[in-house]
Amino acid sequence: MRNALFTGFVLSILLAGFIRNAHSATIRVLVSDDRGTPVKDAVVYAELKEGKYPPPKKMTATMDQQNKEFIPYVLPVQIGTSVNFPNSDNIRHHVYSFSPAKKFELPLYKGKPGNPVVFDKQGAVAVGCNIHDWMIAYIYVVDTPYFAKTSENGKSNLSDLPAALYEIKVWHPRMKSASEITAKQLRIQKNEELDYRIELKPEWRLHRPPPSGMGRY
Amino acid sequence: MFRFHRFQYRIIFFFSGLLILVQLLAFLAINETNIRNSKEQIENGLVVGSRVFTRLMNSRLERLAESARLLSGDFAFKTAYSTGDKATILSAMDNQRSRVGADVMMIVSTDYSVMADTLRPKEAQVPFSFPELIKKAEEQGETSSIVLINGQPYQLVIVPLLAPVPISWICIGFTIDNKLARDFQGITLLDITFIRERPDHHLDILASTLSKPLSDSLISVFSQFVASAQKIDVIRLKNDNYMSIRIPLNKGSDHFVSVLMQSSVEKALEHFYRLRSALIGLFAGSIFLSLFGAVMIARSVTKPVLALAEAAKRIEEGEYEHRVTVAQKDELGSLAAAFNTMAHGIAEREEQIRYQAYHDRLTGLPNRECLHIELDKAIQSSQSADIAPILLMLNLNRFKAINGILGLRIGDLLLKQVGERLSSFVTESSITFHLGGDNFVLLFPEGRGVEHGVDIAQRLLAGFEGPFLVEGHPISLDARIGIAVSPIHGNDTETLIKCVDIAAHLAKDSADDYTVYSPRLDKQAPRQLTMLGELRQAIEQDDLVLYYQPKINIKDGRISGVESLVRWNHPEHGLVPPDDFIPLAEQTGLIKPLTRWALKTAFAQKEAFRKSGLEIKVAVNLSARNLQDEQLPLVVSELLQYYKIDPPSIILEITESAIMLDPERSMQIIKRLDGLGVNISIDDFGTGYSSLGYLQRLPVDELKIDKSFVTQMDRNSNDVVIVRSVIELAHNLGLKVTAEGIETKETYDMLEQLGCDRGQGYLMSRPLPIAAFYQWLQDSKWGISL
Repeated sequence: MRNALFTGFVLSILLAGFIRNAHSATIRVLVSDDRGTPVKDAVVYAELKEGKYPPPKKMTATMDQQNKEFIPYVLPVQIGTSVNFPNSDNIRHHVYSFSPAKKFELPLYKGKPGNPVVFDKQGAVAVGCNIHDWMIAYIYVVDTPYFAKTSENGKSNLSDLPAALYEIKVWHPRMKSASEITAKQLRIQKNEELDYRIELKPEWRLHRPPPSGMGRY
Repeated sequence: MFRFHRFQYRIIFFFSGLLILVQLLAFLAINETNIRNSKEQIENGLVVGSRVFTRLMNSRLERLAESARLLSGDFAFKTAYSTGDKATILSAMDNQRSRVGADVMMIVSTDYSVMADTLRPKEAQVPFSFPELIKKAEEQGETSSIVLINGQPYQLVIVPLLAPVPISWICIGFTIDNKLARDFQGITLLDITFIRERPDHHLDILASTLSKPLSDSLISVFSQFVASAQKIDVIRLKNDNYMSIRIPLNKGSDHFVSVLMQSSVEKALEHFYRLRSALIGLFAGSIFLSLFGAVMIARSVTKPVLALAEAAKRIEEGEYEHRVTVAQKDELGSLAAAFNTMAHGIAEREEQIRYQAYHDRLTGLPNRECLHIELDKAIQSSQSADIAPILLMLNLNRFKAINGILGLRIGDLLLKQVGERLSSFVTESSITFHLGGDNFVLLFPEGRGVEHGVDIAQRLLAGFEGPFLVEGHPISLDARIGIAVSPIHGNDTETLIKCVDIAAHLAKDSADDYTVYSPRLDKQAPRQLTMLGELRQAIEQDDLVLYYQPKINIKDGRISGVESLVRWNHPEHGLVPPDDFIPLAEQTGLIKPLTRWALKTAFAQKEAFRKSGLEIKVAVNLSARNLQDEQLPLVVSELLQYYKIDPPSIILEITESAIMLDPERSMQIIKRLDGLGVNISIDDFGTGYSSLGYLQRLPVDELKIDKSFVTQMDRNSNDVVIVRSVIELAHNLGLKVTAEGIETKETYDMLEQLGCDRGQGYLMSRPLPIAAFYQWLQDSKWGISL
C-alpha cells in the first residue's frame, strides 16, 4: 500500500518535470556518512561549469528562533538572499556571526528585527546567540540557484537542472574535508542519482542546559 | 658474694627468661604492629593524598577551563578577536590570564597556528607545537595536557573559542614548578615530584619537593617503578625508604608525565622510634628489676639451702656442734631448726654408739677396740724409750668355775666389782679396759720400764688378796697378770697386745702370779698347739697309758680297788704330767675321745683283773666336760656289756667343781650313769663350793676328801676337824668316804680312828704302770697275792 503510494508519488514528479522542461533533469542525491548512515542537513548544490545561471530574483529566507533554538539548523541560501531572523520566543535573543562569509549582529531583540540580513558572500556562516551559547545554526551561502538540503533519510533532489555541465558539491557543518574534495563534475542531461559519502567530525554541539564541565578531565 | 648454684640459676632463668620472652614477644608484636600500622598509615596517606592531588589538579584545571570557557563565551572578546587586532587580542588575553592566575594563554587557530601567545606576544603566526592536542580537543570539545614550552612544563587546558562554533582554540595553562609541588605537598603532606619520561626512557624531574640529591637519586631508581602505576611501592632514596605512588598525568607522543607522591617511611616511623626507645628502656628496666628480684629470691632460698648443705656436710664429717643459722622465719627457717635438732640427735646417738662400740656393756669399761685406739695414741705420743706405754693383762683363774657354781649373775656382778677395783686402785694415769669375760687390761701410757710394770702388778695383786663380797658371798680370786712393756717388747699396738696376751696366758699356769713377757715365751704358746696335735695322735695311736693307784680298805688294810690315772708317754718330752695336757684337752673338746680311751682301757684292765682272779673295783676319772656329754652313759653301757663287767665294780669319779659347771645337766647324766649300776664318787671334795644339800640329791656312793685336807692332818688340827666333819656327814648320808693324799702312818691311823672307809696315797703306793702294779700286789703288805 505504502509502496504503491510512493511509486505513484515519484511517478507524478517525474511526469511533472518532464512535462515542464524537456531539457531539465532532476538529480537525486543520497548523502551518507562513512558508515553508510544517511546524513541529514547536508547541503547539496550544483555549480554550473558552463553557461550562466538565470538572473537572480529577490530571494528571502527565514531563520526562526523557537524555544531557544534556531530553526532550521542548516539553511542553504543563494548569494544575495535576505534572511529574516524572527524571534518567536518571548525572550530576547542576540543573534550574531563572526564567520568571514558574513559578520553581523542583531543585538538583543524581540519579535521581528527591522531589516533582514543579506548574505552576499559565498561560504558557511555560523550563527549564534550571544546569550544562549547552545543556539547554533548554519547559513550556507552558495553561488547557484540549484541547491537542496537532505532530509532525515539523507536524500535530497536537485530538480529542474537545465542540461549542462555541473559540479555537484555537498556541504555539512561537521564535514571533515572541504566540499571541493567530494565534488562531482557531471554533465547532466537526464535524471541522475548520486551517492555521496562524507566523513563527519564528531557531533560538536553545546547542549542545553549547558553542562557543568566538571569531571571531564 | 654469692655463688651461682644450679637451683639459683633455674629460678633466675625461669622467671627472668619468662619475662624476657614475654617482653620480647610483646616488643616484637608492638614493633610489628606499629611498623605495619605506620606503613598502613603511609599507604592510606598515599591513597588519600593521591585522590586529593587528583581532585585538586582537576579542580585547578576545571577552574582554568571555566575561565577559558568564560572567555570564549565573552562576546566582547569574540568581537575583539573577530577584529583580528592582535594587540587588542593579546591584552585581552593577558587580562584574562592574570585574572585566573594562569601562567600562559594562547589562541590557536583551527588550522593549528598560534594566533596570539602571552609568552611570546611579538611572534607572528607560527605553527602550534602541539597540534595533536587541538585534534583531541576537536574530538572531545576540550582537553588538557602537560606540555613543555621552552623546556618549562605547563599544564594546559584547551577550550574552543565559540562563535558559536569553534573558530579557534584558547590554550590556558599554569607552570608546573617546585612551588606548585610545594603547594600540593602543603595539602597532601606528601612529597610531590613531577616526572617526565621521554620515549627513550630518559627521565626529567619537572618539579619536586625533594631535595636535589634525593630527586637525582630518584632518577636512577624510578625506571623500575614506571611499570607499576597506581600501586604503592617502596623506593629507596639515599638512606631512606619512601613509600611511593605514581599517578600518570598524561601521555603524549614525546612524553609521559607522572606525578610521584611519596612519604618517607623513616619520617613516619620517627614517632614510633621514640616510643620504641621508651619501650626498650622500660623492658630493659623491668628485666633488670626482675633479674635482681629473681637473684634476691633465689638467694633467699639457696643461701639457707647452701648453709644447710654445708651443715649436712659437717654432720657427715662428724662435726655436730655447728649450728645452722637461718634468720628467715619461713619453711627454710623451720627446716634449719629441724636440722639443728637432728644434728643434736645424731650427735647423741653417735656418742651412744661410740660408747657402746668402745666400752664393755657389763662393766662400762673401755673395750678391746678402745684399747687399740688408746694404745695407738699412747705409742704415738710416747716421748722416749724411758717413758713408754706399759700393758698389764689380768685374768682370773677358775673364774669359769665361779660362774658355774654361783651363777652368771653373780659372775657378772663380780666382774663389775673387779673392774671398779681395778679402775680405782691404780693411782697413775691409767686406763682400765675390759676385754670380755675375766680378761682385763690396764694401760699405763707413761710407763717407765719393766720394773715399773712389775711394781704395778704386785700392787694390783696385793689389792686382790682380800675377798670380794658379792650378795653376801665372800669370793677370793686368783688373779694372774701378764706384763708387756714398750718399746722393749714391741713398739706397735698389735705386737704389744700380742705380747701381753702371751704373757697373761702363761701367767695362768705359772707358779708366779704375774709373768713379764719375754721372747722366750713366744715358743711356749706354739708348743701348746703342737702338743694338742700330738695328743690327738697319741689317743688314736694308743700312746697314752693308764697308771693305777691302789685304794686301801682302811678297816682291813687290804686293797679294795684302784684309781686309774691317764699318763702320756711323749716320744720326745717323756712322761707328760696330766696337768699339762688334761686342761688342754678340756679346752679343745679332745677330752671326749680321751675319756673314752680311758674308760675302754680301764674296763679292759678290769676284765683282765677278773680273769687273773683279782676282784677289785676300778675307778675312772670323768672330766667336767664329760658330764655335758649325752653320749657318755651309752658309751659306758656298751663297754659294760662288751666286757661283761658287774657295774658296781666300776667307780666313776667326778670332781665337785665339774658337777657345779652345769648342775642340772650333770644331774641328769649322773642319774643315767647311776641307772647303769656303776658307782659314782665325788672327787677332790672340799675344794669346791657345792653344798652337801645338793650332793644329797645326787645318786652318789662315795666322797673323796681332797688331799689338801688330808696331807697335813697330822700337823693341822683344823684339817682334822674338817675331815672328821666330812666323814661324819658322809656316813650320815650313807656314803662311803675315801681319803686321798695319805703320806704317813700317823695320818692313816688318824683316819682309821675317824672311821674313814678307804684311803689312798704315797704311804700305800704312788700311781703305777700296770706291770709295777702287779709287782706291788705281790710285794706290798697292802696287796693281795694272787
